[in-house]
Amino acid sequence: MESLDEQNDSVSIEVKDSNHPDIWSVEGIARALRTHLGIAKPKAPILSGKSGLKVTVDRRLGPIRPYIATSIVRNVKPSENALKSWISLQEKMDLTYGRKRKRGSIGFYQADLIKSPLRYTVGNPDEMAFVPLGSAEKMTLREIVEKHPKGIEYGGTISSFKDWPLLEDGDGKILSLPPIINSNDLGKIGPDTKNILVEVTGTNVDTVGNTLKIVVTALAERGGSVYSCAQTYAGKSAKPVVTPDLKSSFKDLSVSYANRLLGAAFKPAEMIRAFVRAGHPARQVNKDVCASRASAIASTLCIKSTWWRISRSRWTSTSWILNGRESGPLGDSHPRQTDTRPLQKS
Amino acid sequence: MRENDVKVLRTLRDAGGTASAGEIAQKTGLANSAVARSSLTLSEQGLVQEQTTRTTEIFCTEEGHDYLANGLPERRVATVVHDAGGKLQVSEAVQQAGLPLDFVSIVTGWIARKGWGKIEKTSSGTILVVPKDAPKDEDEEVLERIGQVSIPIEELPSNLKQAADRLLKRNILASKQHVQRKLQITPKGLDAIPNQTSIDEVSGLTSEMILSGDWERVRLRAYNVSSAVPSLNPGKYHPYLRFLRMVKRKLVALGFTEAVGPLVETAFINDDCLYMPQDHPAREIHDLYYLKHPSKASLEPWKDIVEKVAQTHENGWKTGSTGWGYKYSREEASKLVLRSHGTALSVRSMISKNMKIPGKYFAIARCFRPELLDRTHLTEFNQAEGIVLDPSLSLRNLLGVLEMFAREVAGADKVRFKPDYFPFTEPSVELQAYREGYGWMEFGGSGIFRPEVTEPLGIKVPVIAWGLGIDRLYMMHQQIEDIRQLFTTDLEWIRQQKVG
Repeated sequence: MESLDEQNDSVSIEVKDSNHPDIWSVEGIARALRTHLGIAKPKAPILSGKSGLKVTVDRRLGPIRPYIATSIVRNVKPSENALKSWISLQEKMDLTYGRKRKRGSIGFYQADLIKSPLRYTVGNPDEMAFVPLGSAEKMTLREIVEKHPKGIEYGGTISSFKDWPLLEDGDGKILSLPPIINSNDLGKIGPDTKNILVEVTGTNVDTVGNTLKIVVTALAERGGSVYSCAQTYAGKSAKPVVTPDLKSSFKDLSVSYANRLLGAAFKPAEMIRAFVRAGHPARQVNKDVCASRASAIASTLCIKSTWWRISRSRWTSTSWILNGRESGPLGDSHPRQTDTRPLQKS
Repeated sequence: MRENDVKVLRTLRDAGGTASAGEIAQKTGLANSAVARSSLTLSEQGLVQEQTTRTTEIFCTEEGHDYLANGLPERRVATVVHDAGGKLQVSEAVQQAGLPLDFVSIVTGWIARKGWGKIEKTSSGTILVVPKDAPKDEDEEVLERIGQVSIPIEELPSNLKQAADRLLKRNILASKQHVQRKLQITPKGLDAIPNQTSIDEVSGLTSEMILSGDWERVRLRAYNVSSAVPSLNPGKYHPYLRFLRMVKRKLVALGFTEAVGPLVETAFINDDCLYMPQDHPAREIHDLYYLKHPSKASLEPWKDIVEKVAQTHENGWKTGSTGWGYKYSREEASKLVLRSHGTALSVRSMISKNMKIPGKYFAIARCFRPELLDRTHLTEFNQAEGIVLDPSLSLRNLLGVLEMFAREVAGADKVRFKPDYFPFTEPSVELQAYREGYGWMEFGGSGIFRPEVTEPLGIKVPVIAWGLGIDRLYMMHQQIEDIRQLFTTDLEWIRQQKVG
């Protein structure tokens, strides 16, 4: 914790774990605290159903910005504070995890104004025009990149291409020029917006998928229900890609390996408690029931990485033990627990 | 009264009552320290008084020397205009006077202020009018009077003093404060001068005195043990360099081998071998110094591992990892950077043919990052880097090493560890330490190298690694608040630092 402002009833927290975009929001920190303090068990928000929204993806986006993932979150009615938190999450995600919107960038829209199917396509920068967010007049795509503050800031992600990405709805209304700016008509959400369309586009398929998961999870934490959308990539396969992908992944971890690496003697049950507190449900398996790899070692844990608990370097299981431990080799000084053998003369 | 004291009093009397310590030393032939001791004794007895005079010495700056030789800019321009018949375009005049065009406003300002001429705006531009050849003014007089030497401003008459102030403001002159201490003999001191030198009091016994029996007659002078002694400034190493050598010696004594590597590294060694994805924010231009000439180096020396590292980044290779899931670029890998962390040296150790398991390697590494300078950040800094490779290592061993560094090297009283994240270690730990009267400080990162780092290099045992800000360890050790102090050229500070 950096500082506590009692007058304004606010705390400022330094998030040291730059590996976990899922805690880069008020919602994420609250979720992490709930499991860490033992207030609640780790619980993944569930998918409420299909939204019915379909997205077609133009193959010409291939070299420009090929991936899109969308979802609709219903019944949110955000408070001013919630909106502030989501905007700041969006900015932080776009900047770091999204690599200044290159790998991935987020857009929010009023779902009720948008007609299926969405077309994620390309447009001529001088012919296509719409009213960008925060502006009163219609501008061509090129004018937006050259004059709008967001265009000046992020135009470099697309300006070298002949055609630029464009998101339109079933009526041909323009939603946005990804990853620069939304339309002023459809892409402005406020306290009255009940149903929100979340869209993520980018150049890295994992970044795009994970970003969507993090955002919809934050929205769901405020009471929203998450509905999936279907993306069809032209020419690739007929089968649509359904997002958000809510499958959790599993990995087995040998208790003795983890103890050896940590120089600890955690019992399997202690380790499970630590994983749970760190937000990862885990259970002990004795046979090859774990999804990722057959294992016959008796003391093996099967750890669930819930779909909303995203770490950038995927599996960092020993860190999870350290983060979730009640007391252990880290923390305040424990001189008797450290071992200076490597420094002894050899 | 001692012989030296008498000498000092006599010299002062002969010099008309006042003299500086240096002058006294010269005239008496005494050492400076002897004069200083004497004057202390004499002033305690009220026989002399110390007078401090402060003078401001003024002298020409580089610009001033130029004007001394070629004339002040306003003079040069005025002369050009006058010679051209009294009227000339301003920019033309400035150019003819051999001055750059940004002098226009300065020169016209001074010509107008000095009443040598005036500006006229006409349709053909701004014209400078200088009707007559102005006589030498006070500014020029001061400049000439100073010439190549420096003179005390106090010695100038008041009109020239004002001129000197003007030139100081224009950076044509510079000044330096000069403090001079002089001794003045008091009336009591004049009375106290004996007619003949007393031999009754001596500072030490000689063999002659013992042989002659004089030792029984003389009185040994009392020593004033509280008087200040002259400070000696023998040559010594910079205290920070000595500290670094001490750490180096300690580590070598503990069986560590020093890692070697260049300051200019390929991104491959500096980042890729450490499983830092090529589009990681820390690899952007504002966090890393990229070289312009040459901008790239061949990856040929590491051809055996480039492919493995590339695959590890892309899909995890055989490490069991999923990799970062992007297309690895050899172009990006071959870019040259200034080493940004000591860990690059640990990579050098691990890819070396001489690498041994078990093994211990260290480096005091100079590193470079485009940081904003403040009291804890420099663009150039040192890291105490180290790795230990051993099949039986665990996190606990790493914590032991970190604690040793904090306690033994920085003199910390308390140590705490924070879980941290780095792309190349798992788990990762940040070391923080506390020293009474100094507070908490962060010393940097450490961890156990991830399989994605070690396996492509052919290493199958745990490798504990740390890269500590040794500049900060030293700051805590010496209770220094500002990191910039470590690289200061402040001789006074360096002289005051204790040896050892």
